[in-house]
Amino acid sequence: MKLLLSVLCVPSVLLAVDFDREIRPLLQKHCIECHGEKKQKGELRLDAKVHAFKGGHDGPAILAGKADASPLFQRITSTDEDEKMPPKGDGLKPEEIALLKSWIDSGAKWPENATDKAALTDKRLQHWSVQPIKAASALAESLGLKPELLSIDTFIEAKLRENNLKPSPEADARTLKRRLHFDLLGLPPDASDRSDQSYEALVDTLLASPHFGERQARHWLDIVHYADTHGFERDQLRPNAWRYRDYVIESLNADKPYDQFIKEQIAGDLLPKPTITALGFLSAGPWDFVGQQETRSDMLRRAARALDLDDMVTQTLTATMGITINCARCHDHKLDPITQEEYYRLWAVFAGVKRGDRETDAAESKRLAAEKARLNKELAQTRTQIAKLAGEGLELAKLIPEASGIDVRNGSVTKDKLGYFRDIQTNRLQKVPSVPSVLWVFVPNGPKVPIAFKQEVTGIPATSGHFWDTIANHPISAQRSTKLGSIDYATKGHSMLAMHANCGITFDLAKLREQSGLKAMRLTGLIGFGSDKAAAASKADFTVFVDAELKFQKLKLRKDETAALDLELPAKAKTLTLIATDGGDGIGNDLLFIGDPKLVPEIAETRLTEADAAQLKQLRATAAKLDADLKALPEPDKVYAIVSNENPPVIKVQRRGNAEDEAQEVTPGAFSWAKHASAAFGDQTTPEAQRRLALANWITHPDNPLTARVIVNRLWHHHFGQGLVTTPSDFGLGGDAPSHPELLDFLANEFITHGWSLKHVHKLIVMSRTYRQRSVGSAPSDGSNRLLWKQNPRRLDAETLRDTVLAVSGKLNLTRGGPGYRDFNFTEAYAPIYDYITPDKPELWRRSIYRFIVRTTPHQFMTTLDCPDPANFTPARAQTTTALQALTLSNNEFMLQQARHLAERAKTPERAFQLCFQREATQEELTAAKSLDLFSLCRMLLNANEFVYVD
Amino acid sequence: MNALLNRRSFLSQTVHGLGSIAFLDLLARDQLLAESVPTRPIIDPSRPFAARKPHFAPKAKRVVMVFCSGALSHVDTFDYKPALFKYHDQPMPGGSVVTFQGEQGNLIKPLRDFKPRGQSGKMTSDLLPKLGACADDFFFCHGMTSKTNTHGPGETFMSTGQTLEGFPSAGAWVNYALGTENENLPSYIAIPDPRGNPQAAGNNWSAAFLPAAYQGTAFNTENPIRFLARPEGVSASTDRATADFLKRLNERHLEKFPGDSELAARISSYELAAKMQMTVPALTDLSSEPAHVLKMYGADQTTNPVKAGYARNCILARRLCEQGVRFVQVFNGAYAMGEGVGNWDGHKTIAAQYPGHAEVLDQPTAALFMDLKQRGLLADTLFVFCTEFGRMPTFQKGASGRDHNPSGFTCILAGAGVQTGAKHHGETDEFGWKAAVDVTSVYDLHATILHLLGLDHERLSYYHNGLERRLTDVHGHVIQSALA
Repeated sequence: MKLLLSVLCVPSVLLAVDFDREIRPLLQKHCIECHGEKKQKGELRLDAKVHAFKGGHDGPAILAGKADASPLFQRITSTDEDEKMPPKGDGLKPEEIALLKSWIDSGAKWPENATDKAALTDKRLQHWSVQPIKAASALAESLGLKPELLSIDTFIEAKLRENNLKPSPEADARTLKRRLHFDLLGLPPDASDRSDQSYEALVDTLLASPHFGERQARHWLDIVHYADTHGFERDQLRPNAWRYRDYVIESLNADKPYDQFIKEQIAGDLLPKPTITALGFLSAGPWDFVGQQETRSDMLRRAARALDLDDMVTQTLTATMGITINCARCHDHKLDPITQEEYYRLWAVFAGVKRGDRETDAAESKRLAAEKARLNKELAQTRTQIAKLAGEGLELAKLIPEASGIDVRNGSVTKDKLGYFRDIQTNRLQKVPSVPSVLWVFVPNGPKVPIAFKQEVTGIPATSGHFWDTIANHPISAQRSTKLGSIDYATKGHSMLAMHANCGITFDLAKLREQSGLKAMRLTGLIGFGSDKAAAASKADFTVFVDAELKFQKLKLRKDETAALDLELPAKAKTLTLIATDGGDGIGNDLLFIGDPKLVPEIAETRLTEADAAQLKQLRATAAKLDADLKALPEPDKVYAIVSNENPPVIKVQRRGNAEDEAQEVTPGAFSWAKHASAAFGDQTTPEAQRRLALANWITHPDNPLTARVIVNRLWHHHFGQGLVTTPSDFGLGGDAPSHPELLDFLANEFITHGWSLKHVHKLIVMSRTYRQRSVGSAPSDGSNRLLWKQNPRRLDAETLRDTVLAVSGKLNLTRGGPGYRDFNFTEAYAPIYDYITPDKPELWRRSIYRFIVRTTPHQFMTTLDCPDPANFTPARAQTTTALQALTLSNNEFMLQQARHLAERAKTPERAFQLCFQREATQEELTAAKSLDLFSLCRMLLNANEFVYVD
Repeated sequence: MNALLNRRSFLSQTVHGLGSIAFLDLLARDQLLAESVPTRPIIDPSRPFAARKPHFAPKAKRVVMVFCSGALSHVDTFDYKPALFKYHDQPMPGGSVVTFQGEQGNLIKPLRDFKPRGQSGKMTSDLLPKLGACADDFFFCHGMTSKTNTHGPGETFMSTGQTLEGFPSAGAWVNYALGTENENLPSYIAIPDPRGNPQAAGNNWSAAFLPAAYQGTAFNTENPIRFLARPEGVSASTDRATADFLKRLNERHLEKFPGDSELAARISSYELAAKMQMTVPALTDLSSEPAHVLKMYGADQTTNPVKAGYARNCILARRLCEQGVRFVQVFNGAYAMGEGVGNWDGHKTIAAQYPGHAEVLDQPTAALFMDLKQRGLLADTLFVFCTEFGRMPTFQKGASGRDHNPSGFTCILAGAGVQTGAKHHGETDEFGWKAAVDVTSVYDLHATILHLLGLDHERLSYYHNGLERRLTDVHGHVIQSALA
């Protein structure tokens, strides 16, 4: 240390320093290991002039002429252990430090050598995948052929010849038939189908099948990590997500041009024919409810939003262009020439986008909303007239002292906010001494519920037994809304009785008559949720008893519904009991209340003129009719997609990906590595949707070399088990190089010139000799079969295996589209609980593409079979072999049920073999099978390698 | 690459996989290959669980990780802060603080007194006296910090090193790196609390983008491995006959594909399944444990079924260690019952809730630790005691409980290769709010766990979505002072 200090005290002598002889080796020796091409700690590189003077994370490191102010010099002379450079070892020698000082002070002259010059031209720009797709003529030339003679096989076979390999012979007809069925439809051939269609006719039939889209959609949904719940700890339902899944299936079945398919998914709302369901693409991934909404910490919210935008940007760019843009979030991309700023420009494209439900047909939704508003208005007017005629009556809510609620635990009246109660004893009547007209309050839990002294009723569902806050005459704690229809019941002239599930209250009608002088009465009011969008899936029940007689019940009321009360209360009735329960899905968001709950005199009991009485009757009939019309109005169709904010917030670069450390502002755009079109999409004033449209056009630009290459490679991957590029979502420098670059370009050309038709490429591939080869044999020089001297045998993925089991058992339910099947019990809770079940029912025998996919609770059966976690983008499925798979396929209930169905269907061992393997059993197999009962045989056939592999 | 265990890419995988071949080529061309290049384990697809060599000589062969779900309050257990007693019920100096659930009230002293323990005299709370009695064998990380203050992401972070879902847990990384010494059992086992799953459930033992084979297998003494048992109505002899038949069928099929390692692996997976059917039921059947062992763990306490259930899980954990299982997670706390009811989330009524939770945790966990020690297993077993984050030294305004505190909490390491004598690394401030000395990250904890297993956290990687992913992301320093 002393030495160091003494050096610093030496007056700076401006010596002529020879950079190449004295400084470059110094940097090489002490700095390059962490600040070179391999590692760039602090984003600083000192291995070439251009990098060294650009500086790093903390700005320029070398200030020519000012050694003392240069961070480089400060760090090598620092005495602070955390600051000192290099961090390990003894540091630089005093004479080395002195050399560096004089070099910087004398102007930091850095003559350029070959390395410095090379660093100026970025060789990454020459990377194969961003070069234009070669024209057919150029490709033909490379093979010495005429362009019209080009085919998949010419490329494959040329390369095989080069490597002294020979293609394998064509597989037998049965194998080909199975291969085609599984690859195109994900289903086995029908064992009874003996038609001798030509191969090409079969291909055409399968490509035209509606099951084609179901199979191919699964691949697309894997790369967009689609699921039907949000994920994260509060893994709530997305009941409308399925419309996007159906959109994908339908688009692939219709062979929608791929460029249009992509455009619709990114900017479908801006196209001449709006395609809203397609926007489910942008919202397919997970969403953190707690981080984005629930938390009170703004910092957490910013962090969650950052992850949200990262997910959208990453998905869009990896799915379409195979660029791992996410690597540039914290620093410039380490391998690809993409800057951190370019990454954040993509954030700016999506800055105004949030995930959420969206109506699929704006015009129809508008019409429905107008109709609803009209009916609500007429109903409100009618009710006002009724109230006028029938007299004001008695407001139930006003029986409770002003701005108070009843604590259901002890019947006391309180102005406090009480919050969540989980541990109340249910079905215990509590007296309410301070409110004379209220006899009891309680927390109901069916089937038998006491509602008054020695009076028990049935017909109330079982509940969670939980309760929130109080029974109140004002908005309760967390009351999100006090509006039903168009009326705000918290405003003057209205009243509300808040009854969050689960609670019950019994009024003393005798006392009420005493107070009011009324005799026969009617109970009127409107029940609904005082909740907001968060309650989308929540349901609740409302029940009314007069004495112990059930007078009204609305089960599973939805948050967007209301129910009108208009009930007789005979002059002799003693008690009136109102009960709110949780609809069987927990009390989350069950913020029920009654708007204007009133006891009004019966017509007969009023002193109305005959004409007025008749009018009142008429008005009540009108109200009933309007109410019925309201209920009959259908809900507008929705899809879980995106909601857009027209004026998006300004995006800034986040240093090191830290939302709390922002740097410069960025405008919407993409990266300039791909040169096919301008990557600037506007400025801060560019409307939200225009930004997305610009991105969609940039991705699908006919000169974009990546989009077409990436998708044809994906198709190849699905037909051969590995792509020409084996990293289907990474076409950057970190990814694989194509085994057959010309073939990839040939396919891309074919694809684009045939109107971006996916089916055209499918057909090209499956018609090729390469595809039709046998899958047997070995070639030591190409063990991984990159050159495709044979077809690859492949194991059925989880979905296909499940569908195949159902197909051979004869139980497969081929109903297409619509909400997914739910093979779980759902309990709403803070963290909802999904319990998987295996009932043997037709609605659960649908194809696996229609499974309602829960994100946080994986489906054990599917996961064991390598079905990926939908938190991840999955460009290629893993294929593991474990004992748990063996146990699952042998003993899982679903497998056993289907083995039983298969045995019933097959009736004989011969037929069982035929159904499972689409071939006749051998004599040896039949002899061996004799030792087993038919069920046991079927159980094992479904476990056989021959069953789970496509050869 | 996802095709890691795929027979056709096996050859290439043995030299680090295709994706990385490109990557290595790139580096090689530029002569940058050096010792710090990612080192992926070489995996034989027909034996994905075969034992594999670590990077360097390990201290520990296996890990038992006890995870207190819901955020165990460090100031009420192991992080002794005399100032909290002194300034009890006074405002925290420096003005009011807003945390996850809102504004904070006064500083509140720990629920129980602290007392010196063992030779070291380490001060720990009477809330967990039996764990306190083990203090001499523990190494305390008192300066732990988390990156999030919500439970799900917090648990996910502690288990996977990422707050987001979709990343492999530490156990999966270890399983991927090292395989197992007992191929008759899953090499990575998660034991959920008898009350149910922790908040982040399967994220805690997920393989995410690693091959699914490396995920944790979740079971406990009440819920055994799924589908292990022979189906009802199928006799043992029939079950055997069907298995024999399947084997013959598959062997005949294999003849058509000579040398196909994946088909062969699938045949052997059925043989392993049969072995597991023999070994696992015996493991979860504790009837062979002597009465004094059941008593030591508290598994005999029929009046407290939750404690007895957790105690049985602890016995199971010890048995799994004896069997050579590589990574065992034992969870204490479950979320199904809601905030703080069956877990350590004491926001509102901590004084009422914690003693019951402590009763469940203390004796069985201490017994597990002492049992590992007395059987000599601690010599090559790393014991980790953790939670997702800590709790505030204050009570929440208007409530009688402590809010989340990711700025400071305590984890414990003990056993193979770890310092004894109740030493510690890191300290929180005067009140136990923020880590102030030797601030320690979850990455550091993970780096240390891997180090003790003979793995360099900077070299253990897996290519996914354009990145060489690591358990410690781009962070992490081995806690040197923890190493014996």
